[in-house]
Amino acid sequence: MRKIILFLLLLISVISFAQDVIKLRNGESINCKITNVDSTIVYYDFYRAERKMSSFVAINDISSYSIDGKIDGHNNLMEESSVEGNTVIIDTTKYVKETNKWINLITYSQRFGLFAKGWSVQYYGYNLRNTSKWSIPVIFGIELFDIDPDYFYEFGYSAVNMSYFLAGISPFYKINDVIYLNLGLNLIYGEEKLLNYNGIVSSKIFFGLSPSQGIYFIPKSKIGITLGLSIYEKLLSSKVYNHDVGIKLELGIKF
Amino acid sequence: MRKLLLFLPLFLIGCTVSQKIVYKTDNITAPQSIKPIPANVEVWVFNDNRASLEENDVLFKNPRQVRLNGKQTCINSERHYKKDTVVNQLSKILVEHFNKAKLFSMSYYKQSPQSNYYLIGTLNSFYAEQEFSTGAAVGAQFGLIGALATAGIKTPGTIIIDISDLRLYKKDGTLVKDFGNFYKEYKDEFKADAACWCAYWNANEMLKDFNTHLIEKIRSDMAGIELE
Repeated sequence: MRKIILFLLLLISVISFAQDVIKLRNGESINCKITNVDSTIVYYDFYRAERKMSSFVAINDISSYSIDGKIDGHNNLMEESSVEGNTVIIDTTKYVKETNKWINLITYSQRFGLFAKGWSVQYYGYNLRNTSKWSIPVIFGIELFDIDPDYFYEFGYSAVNMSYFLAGISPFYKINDVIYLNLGLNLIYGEEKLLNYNGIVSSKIFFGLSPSQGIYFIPKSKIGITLGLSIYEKLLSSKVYNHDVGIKLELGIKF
Repeated sequence: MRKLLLFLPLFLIGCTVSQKIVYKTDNITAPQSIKPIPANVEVWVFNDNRASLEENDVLFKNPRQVRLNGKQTCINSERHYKKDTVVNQLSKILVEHFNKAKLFSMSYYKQSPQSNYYLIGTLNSFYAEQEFSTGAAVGAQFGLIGALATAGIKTPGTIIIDISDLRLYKKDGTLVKDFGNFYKEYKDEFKADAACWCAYWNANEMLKDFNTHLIEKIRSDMAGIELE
């Protein structure tokens, strides 16, 4: 009997204690006793598994709080707050929470250059931060192209095999939720094996520069189709393919 | 061959990376309008009650990367706090924070002949979990550029810090103030890395925030209490 009375007394004290309510911006509510409010923090006591605990929450995580009884000057603590009855409503419009999302794109592109045509497959991975307009992707891919025979034969060779690496940056600039500008600058390092008309094969290391400027549609949804249109330029120290300008059409998936 | 077998376990022990419970205290300043509480206080090493609470089991039984609720998760596994105990490190950093914030005239870690008060407490939770970042893992494969590209990645997580029975006593054993239990559950997006050390670093960052507000609570609770 004594235990029941003690339990009931405890229950009553817990119920009577939880008079104030803090509503958080994420939709959760905290039944508690607010003990102190300053310009940035609300301190409160609450019960958790019959333990009385003290805790706190930042004002910018709160949408409103209600105090049982008088609100003494709480509305003066923040310029952004207003009082309705016994509830202090926080104006949260000035608080923008930073969010980060990792975006993956796999694209196929068709390249149409003045002197070479080809295709490439790329992977782009980047962190999309809501507070920044810029994203710098990690990119890797494979590119194959055929040099225009009329242009190629001017150099006096019958065949060439080129392989090269690209290293650089290719950041995206956010125009709006779905449209992005892409400005790339890559350094090229590679080797070409040239076959002349006498059947002699020679090798040569070449360097180059490849800027590009494009516009991309990247959907907001988690999975979707992405499209890109870019202009690219190439300047190379190759013996048979030393410059080019072209258009790149890109189609891919975002996930 | 016998020698090789003897050396092997030593080598493996040497490979376990230790994590410390530390944070920057250079930028902590005491409010000029507030005087320190006139007491020289020993902060005793807190009792460690974590192992007796079921919700902490995951930290004691798993490595720092573990599958929780179907997701790869980073946790501040106990395995990497082996060099010094969590409660030793936590009490040490709390003393440093107290002194930087000028909470008491002077605070000491463990016993000191200059002290006239002591503070005790129990640690129930120092728990961090956050989703593993695939993006950070991909970025780590691309060296510096990859690291730069993925430096800002955050993943959702939870950090819980729970200290109970925080009490200030006179050296003769008289209770001065029972501050009760102080608890905070941080649910947010936290910085992520490819190796899951982030759970330790983020736990330390949140501990700094927790201790800052714990100090405010102690200040507030001690207001009006006359110390001899």
